[in-house]
Amino acid sequence: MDFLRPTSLADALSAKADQPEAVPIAGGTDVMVELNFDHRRPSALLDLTRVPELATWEPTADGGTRLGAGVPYTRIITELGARLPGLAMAARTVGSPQIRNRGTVGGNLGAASPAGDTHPVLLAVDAAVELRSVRGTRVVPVREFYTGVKRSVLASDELITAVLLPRAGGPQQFSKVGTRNAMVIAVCSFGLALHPGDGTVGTGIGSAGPTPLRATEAEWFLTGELADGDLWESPKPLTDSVRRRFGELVAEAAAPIDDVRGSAAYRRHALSVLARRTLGWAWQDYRTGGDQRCA
Amino acid sequence: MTVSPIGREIDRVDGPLKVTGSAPYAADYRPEGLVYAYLVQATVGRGTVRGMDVSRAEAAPGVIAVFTPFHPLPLKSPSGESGENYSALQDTAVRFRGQIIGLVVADTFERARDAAALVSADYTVTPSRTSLADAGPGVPQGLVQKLAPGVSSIDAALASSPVTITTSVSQHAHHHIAMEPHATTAVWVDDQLTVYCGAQSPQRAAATIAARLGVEPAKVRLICRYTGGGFGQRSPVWNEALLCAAAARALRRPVKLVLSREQVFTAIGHRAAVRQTIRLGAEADGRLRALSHDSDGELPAAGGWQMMPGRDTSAVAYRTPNIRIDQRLVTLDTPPTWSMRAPAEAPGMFALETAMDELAVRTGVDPVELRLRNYATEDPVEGHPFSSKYLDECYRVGAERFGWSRRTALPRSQTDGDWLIGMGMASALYPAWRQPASARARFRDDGRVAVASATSDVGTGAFTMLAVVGADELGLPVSSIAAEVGDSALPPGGVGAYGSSVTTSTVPAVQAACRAAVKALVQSAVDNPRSPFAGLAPATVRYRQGRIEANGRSVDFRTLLRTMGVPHVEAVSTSAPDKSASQYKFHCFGAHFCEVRVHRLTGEPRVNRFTSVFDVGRVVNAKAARGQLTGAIIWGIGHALLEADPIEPDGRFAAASMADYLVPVHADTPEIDVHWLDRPDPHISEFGARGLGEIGLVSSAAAIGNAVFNATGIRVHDLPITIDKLL
Repeated sequence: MDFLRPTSLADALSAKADQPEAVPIAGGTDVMVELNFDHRRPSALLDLTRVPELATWEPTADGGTRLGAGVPYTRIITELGARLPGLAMAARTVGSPQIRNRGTVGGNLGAASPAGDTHPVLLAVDAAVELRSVRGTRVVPVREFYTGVKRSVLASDELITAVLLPRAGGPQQFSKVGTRNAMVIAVCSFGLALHPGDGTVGTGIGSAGPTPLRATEAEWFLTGELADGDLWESPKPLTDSVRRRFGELVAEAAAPIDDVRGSAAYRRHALSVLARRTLGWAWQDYRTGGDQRCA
Repeated sequence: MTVSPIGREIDRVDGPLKVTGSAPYAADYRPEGLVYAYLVQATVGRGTVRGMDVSRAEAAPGVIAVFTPFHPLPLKSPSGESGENYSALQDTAVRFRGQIIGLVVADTFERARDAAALVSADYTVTPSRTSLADAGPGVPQGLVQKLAPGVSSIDAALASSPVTITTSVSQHAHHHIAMEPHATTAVWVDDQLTVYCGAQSPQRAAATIAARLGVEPAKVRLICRYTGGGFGQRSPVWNEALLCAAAARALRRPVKLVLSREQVFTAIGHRAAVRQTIRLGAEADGRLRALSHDSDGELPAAGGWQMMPGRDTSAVAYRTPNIRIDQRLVTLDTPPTWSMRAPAEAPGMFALETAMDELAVRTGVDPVELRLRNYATEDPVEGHPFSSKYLDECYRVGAERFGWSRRTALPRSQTDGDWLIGMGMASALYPAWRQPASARARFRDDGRVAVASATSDVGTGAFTMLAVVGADELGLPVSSIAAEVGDSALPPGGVGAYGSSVTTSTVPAVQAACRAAVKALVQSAVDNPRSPFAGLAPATVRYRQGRIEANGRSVDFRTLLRTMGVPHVEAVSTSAPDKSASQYKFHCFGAHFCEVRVHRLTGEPRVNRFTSVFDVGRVVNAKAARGQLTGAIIWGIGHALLEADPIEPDGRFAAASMADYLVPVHADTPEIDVHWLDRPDPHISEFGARGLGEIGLVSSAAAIGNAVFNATGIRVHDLPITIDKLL
């Protein structure tokens, strides 16, 4: 097995072009597990930890954030809690401190496991993935990124170089149910973003389908309810029936299976709870934080 | 003046070595010429290996040898003591999925691992027996029965009871998962073998290795100075270590074998899966009239430990005129089983204490009061009095520390937002066992006293126990004692680190050895012509706090030894229980109280707080004791809420990795309030210590299950108690 260690993005892209079968490795929290279990034996590993371009984040002109694919979760928590509140919440639930020191959002996307902790938030905030190859750069909305179980639109000569996240215009939430309190693969998870600017909401479901999923019906329903009641302008507490219906629509959007961590029925039930819960927190945040945002 | 360290908070003497990484474990030894072995394991559940293709492995870079049933390493058949009933590679039978069918040796670990993956095998497969429910009921093993005069059967006693409870509980396989994965480094020099390998009993392990290799016991030395956890898993010697030693002999060079974490799940024994039914018959006020405890435990065809969960639990716990314990074993084609911390007592008391909680609910008697109404002052079957039992005080002190009076008996009656709050309790007991033990004390001319016993410190604090007891006995600071364990070459008679027996057994031996060493030092001082005390009568010379004194002269032992030109003076002593001990039943006791919360909507169970009070005799080291008791209670959280490895019909463990086999993490572990009564046991030894390494695990799961019932009104009988069972 070759171990390729490029020290610049250009070198990394040309290495990937030369050896498309090379498996990119950043924190190694997924790839090393597969290697240790002998689930795969790639002919080459492409180590991205020495590529400086991947290890930084910067603000974008429109107030958003360009997050390098190799920025570890620990830095997202410590440096980006205010800019990317939902992603930072999800990052806090990943593994242990050691895993958070190594693991990256780029790796989470590269693995494209439906159980990856960051996907629900990326879907909810409508993030985009920057893919590069020696052929050029393309930006794919994350909502179009996942194509199947652990599959994505990533081409064999491409690397995930960054994630583009819009400015957080409103409250964001993430919630996860696990079989224990930490260091656990999600039984199911849910991300929610409120977008007061255009009066919409975003959702993301994890660990309850072949890919991370959006709950589109739930988004439309809530968007309509908030508009009909003029609630963005004069935010009143949401009625129980709105919260309950939102939860039901989120549960209906899931496509879970039974496995050792939980049954399909439990996942649907828990998703409806997580959806109601995160909506309650986010709306409360919007109502009480509204004055500060205006000031 | 030295203050006695007994019972105080003493830091572990091996702590600095461990936290700085300078304590060598089995895999840390790198003798000259070392090569590396890796296991090949069967991928079918039961059958025969028809043939194996090793050509690709043999051609792989760095490969030195590939051993299989068709090119075996010679090993003798096991005697009764072993965990497994066969020797690996001696035949082509596959007894379970994960059985060792090959060993690849190469010049590096990575090359051995890589080549092992290139070995392929053809099998004839026969269906596996894997389900305890389908293969049971098992073969009866140990029937324990006592019926009151005139009572014809336990069924009759139950039928005539005003209140009856029937509770069936089940649990899957549990794994020990000691932090140090199993590792062996085997070095032959001529015909003398040194094995570096974690072991709970270095001398027994060395004897087993010698027997299986067919060499004289004196030819094998086992060193396990530091061992990263035992929990029962390191009391037998498993096939992997034997193959490593055999490969080193065949190749005439040192061989190291380190198992991967996943290999440990199948190559090393687990706690047997078990199903149990408790039937209680009681008066309306909760007083027991009859107790029946039936169990079906997994017994692998490949051999293993016999799961007998009723004998040391239901036959001991409560005053009951009629008792019947029927323990059965079911043969399955599963990886071997072995004892695991509180091996029978943890599952057995989960069953009994769950049933007792149901009885409390049915009769409306408070759970603590119910247990006091059935309090046993003597062994309910054999009639021997307990040597020392203050369980009633444990209940009282525990209830007060915990705030038990604030509990409401009605389930779902206490909430905190969306969380249902519940409180539960359970009583614990564990046999106290004193074995004959030996120890050596050696005054050295560097001013320290080496106190040694051929037991093992599996992380429990045995090193520190030797140092504390030696320091107390000799009137020296703990830092003046050099403790030694973990070497089969130490004087014969060290006890194994199992059955919570090391402290109970070894403290009297250390005391005796120290006294004998003082006597030898005094004798030496009067005999040696260079000694300032030469020629005095021994009775006129006294030892006090490291000094020899007579006729107004006082010399410290270091100076004395140097003056005499003697590097050290030592004594070895053995100490065994008194004959009178057979009149008593020796047990440790405890009472657990816990509060849980269960989310009303998601069913997530969380342990809020835990209070446990123990009656364990005299405590040597408060810090080590608290560590052992707290750690065992955390195991109880795993037992109740997380740990399970179901076995699939093809013989595969469903959760044979640390990603899938969940144990409690810090975030699952609340504040745990551990307290013990300071009541030395007057009959177990002069010192009065009973072992405490396992009792914390006994019934802590039951206390959690009982609290979950109090919170939710849901009684989960099939462990673990997971989210989907609480909706």
